[in-house]
Amino acid sequence: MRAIPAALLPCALMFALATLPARAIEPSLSADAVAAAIGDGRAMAARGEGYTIGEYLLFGIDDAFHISDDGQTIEAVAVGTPYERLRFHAYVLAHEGRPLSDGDTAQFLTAHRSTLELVVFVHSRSMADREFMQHFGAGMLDAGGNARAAEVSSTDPVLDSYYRPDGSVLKRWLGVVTFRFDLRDDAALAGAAAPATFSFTDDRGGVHRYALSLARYR
Amino acid sequence: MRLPLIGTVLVATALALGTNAFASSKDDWLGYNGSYAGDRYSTLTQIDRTNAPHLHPVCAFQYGELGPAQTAPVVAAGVMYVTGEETTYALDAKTCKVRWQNTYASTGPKAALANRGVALLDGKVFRGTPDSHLIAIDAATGRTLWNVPVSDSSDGSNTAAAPLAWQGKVYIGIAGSEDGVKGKVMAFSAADGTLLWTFSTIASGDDPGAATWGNAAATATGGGGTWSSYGLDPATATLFVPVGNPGPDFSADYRPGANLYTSSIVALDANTGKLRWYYQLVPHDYHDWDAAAPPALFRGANGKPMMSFAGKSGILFTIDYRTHALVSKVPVTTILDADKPFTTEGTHFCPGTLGGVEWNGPAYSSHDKLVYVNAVDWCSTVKLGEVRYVLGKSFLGSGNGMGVKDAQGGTGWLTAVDPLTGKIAWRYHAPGLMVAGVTVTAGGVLFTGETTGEFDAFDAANGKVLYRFNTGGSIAGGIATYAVGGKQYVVAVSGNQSRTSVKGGGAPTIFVFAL
Repeated sequence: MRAIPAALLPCALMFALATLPARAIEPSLSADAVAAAIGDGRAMAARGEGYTIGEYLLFGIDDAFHISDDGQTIEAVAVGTPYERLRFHAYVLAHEGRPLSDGDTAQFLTAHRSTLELVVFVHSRSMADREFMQHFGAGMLDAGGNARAAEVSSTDPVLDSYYRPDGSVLKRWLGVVTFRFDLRDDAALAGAAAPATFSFTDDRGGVHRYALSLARYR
Repeated sequence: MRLPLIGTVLVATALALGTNAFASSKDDWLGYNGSYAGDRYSTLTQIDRTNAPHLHPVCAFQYGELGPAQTAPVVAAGVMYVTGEETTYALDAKTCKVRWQNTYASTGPKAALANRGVALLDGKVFRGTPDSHLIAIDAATGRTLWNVPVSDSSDGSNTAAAPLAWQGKVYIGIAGSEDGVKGKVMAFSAADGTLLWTFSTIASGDDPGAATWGNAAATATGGGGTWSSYGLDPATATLFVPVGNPGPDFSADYRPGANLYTSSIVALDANTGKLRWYYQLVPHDYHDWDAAAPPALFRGANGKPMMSFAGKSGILFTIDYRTHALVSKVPVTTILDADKPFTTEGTHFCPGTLGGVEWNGPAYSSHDKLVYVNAVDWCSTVKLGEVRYVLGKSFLGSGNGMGVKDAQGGTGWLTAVDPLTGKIAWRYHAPGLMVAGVTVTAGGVLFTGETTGEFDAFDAANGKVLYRFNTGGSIAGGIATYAVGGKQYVVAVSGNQSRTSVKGGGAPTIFVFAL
């Protein structure tokens, strides 16, 4: 894909948005999308049954309580579009019993405009490795030969119980590593119909790759 | 919160109250709480409110090891039985001299180092072990008679509780809610350790109460451990089990519903293990507010049988034993933002995860008509985080583990309450945590201890300090009183080293006091 001159970016953005499939990522959410995301998030909180990742789940293991192989450290990967992130934000605030004002929403949308987050649920390979998430990195999003690098952040690790197949208990640190891609200067990437690849390296330097079609996601 | 009876079984109460329903002699202290009824009341009167200032230590027994010291001394016919991590000691109750000791060798992972004591029946001493076994020891010789596994400790389950024994049966359950253990209570044959029945403290499948788990999968790791001891009404063959918090502790959305029978007092048919009724202190708990301690059964000043109990939520409940109607509900420590949801910035709440009433519960004085209970006053801050992925969902919970306790440390309360009115008669605010047993006597004296090391004797009527002795170690175990050869003694367990001994320390030591 050829680079688009900066002066033509607004035009390119408009063109890209105009040609996106119906379920394409919206770099700037419409009022209807904002209302829908907030409504969905609040409804999930009201049900009190956790946050349903739904179609945004890119990868997930079937049983995240049992560990049969200590080489397994990735539990799930989710695609965090501006719509999905607002939905999750609304879910968290509703869970906390806090309001989401129009001002808060606008601020959130500004921070997430034309961004894409890949959310990776992970656990450590041993109880001793509390800092394991600090070694995750090298997040790349490659679509049509156009690659982007991600900013990486992670939650504080939390110690929790896992089980071996024989029922014995294991303690492992778990948390969420987020790879954040800034797509402001490449709206075409955000709406690319072509398959994209998300890759990153784990705490041992192992490379993980996941194919995705960004056009699938709102 | 009172919830309806399950089924139609009503307890035709003929509670043998007013006397020590456990003891063959008023000179003995025959179980974790002194009696089956668990009222922690002794009819001994030699030490009274006039002479208690003349108490002094008469002997001490040093374990010679470090670790938790949470055992509840049990005394019968001049012999005191106490436990360490793996060793059981029979001591001369007058001199603290060792008559025998039995050291168990764990064969599996040690899931708990604390042990809260023994049960006695038919010449046998029963205790749990660090690797979740139940053993029987000959009370005369210290020889191990039988040894049976209660659970596989490799899953984190443990038998830290003091068992209770009655009519040929030994009752003990498993704990480990923080490890995702699914709690249960079991009865074993006192003769040979044969398993007689099992009751799951987590309702699932066709169990009554299963519908209170909105996510049935959550019952697999539901918590509901039981880790202190039990109570019993011999007249109705009813076993009382305090049940701990649901798991995961703070991810409430993973387990929508009331989550029976967690954070509850459960009443079981002691012969069959069938559920009779329950009282849930905290429906849908998300603060780690176990019902940790067994209840106290007593006949109130109105002549009616009553039951008092309290948990880590810091509230002392008294209910009518026959109808289960709430009689009084009294906060016995600081309660703050108990219903406030967790936030990502952190939610400060009280009691914290190490707050409220811990493993030693209330006592009732038939002499002064008051209920007494110790409690911890220590708040925590839990930060909400996205902590668990399960089958296409993510769940919020504590993003900072068990939370952060207030940096200035905790304090403690000893509270005396009129159970019929809920009126607080008096309170004592301790500089350290109050987790030790509370024992009250017909002499009008209340004995307890503090994690700062003090053994205390209070005037049970008004809270006046009658005697205080610093043992040099955190007091977090049982306090018992008994008589040998016509002389009354009081025993305190000092030197607890565990997460609660922030202001304590020392090494496990038994102190015996007398006039």
